[in-house]
Amino acid sequence: MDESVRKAVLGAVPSLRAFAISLCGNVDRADDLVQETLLRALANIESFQPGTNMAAWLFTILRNHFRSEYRKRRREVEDNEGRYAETLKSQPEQYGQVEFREFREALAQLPADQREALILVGASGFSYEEAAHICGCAVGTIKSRVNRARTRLAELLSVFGADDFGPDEQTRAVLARGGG
Amino acid sequence: MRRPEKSSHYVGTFPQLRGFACKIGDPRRLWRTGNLGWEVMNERKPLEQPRPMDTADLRNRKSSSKPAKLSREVQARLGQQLRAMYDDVVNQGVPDRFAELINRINGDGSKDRQ
Repeated sequence: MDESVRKAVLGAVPSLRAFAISLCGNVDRADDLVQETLLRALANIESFQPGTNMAAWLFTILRNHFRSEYRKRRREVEDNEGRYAETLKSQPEQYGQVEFREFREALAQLPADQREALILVGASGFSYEEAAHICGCAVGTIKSRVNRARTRLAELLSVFGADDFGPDEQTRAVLARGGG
Repeated sequence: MRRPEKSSHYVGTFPQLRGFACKIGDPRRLWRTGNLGWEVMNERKPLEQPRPMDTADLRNRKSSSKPAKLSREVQARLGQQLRAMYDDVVNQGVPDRFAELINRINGDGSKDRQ
């Protein structure tokens, strides 16, 4: 494997993990997902086209793997969305989930399609086109999912009026930690 | 602009016509084409603007089929929170298990299986 390719894979891991945690709401499960994704990617590294976006390639593998697992699991557990929310509640102490708990719980209530679209565009920094490619759907579909996701999140967090938003605890926590 | 509230010609008593008239724009244009012989357009000034209640109705109807538009500020705040949550994980870097996994693959393309 070319050194630059190896570096690109390594460089994409932090974001890949963040995406995985956002998708399944459970750090351990997410890390397993990342591990499986990396094994698959490394086994098929020849199919990666140099010069293209490594992160997008890895995200596509992870997303597809998650989807097929998700379908398998849905047969076992009826209400997967509810299970996602339940997972969050049962692990309040898990790293990275305390400060953002309210936000994560709201995110957990979104349909899976909307959640992944919002994260890819709003957090991972992919363009609408890249997100559409990762999710295997039209650009317009991604746009509409992102819009719906934002609207629903705003409803869940009661932020329709900017005044209702209240003190931004999460941001303050991040700033405080960064400074200390 | 006075309106004859009791007039049987008053288009305002038919919400569906009102909505139609609003969408079309100047109803006189319709009347001129002769497709619709609305007397109300003949005898008085056509409905140029819907009443405040009508616009509210239209807006409500719209919001049920389309998500409401969020202000830029709300969108920005949501984006901030989302990224803060995401970056919290990104800033944890690469856990050792993944670094080891990736470094197990040799630079020459062969896999060094331990």
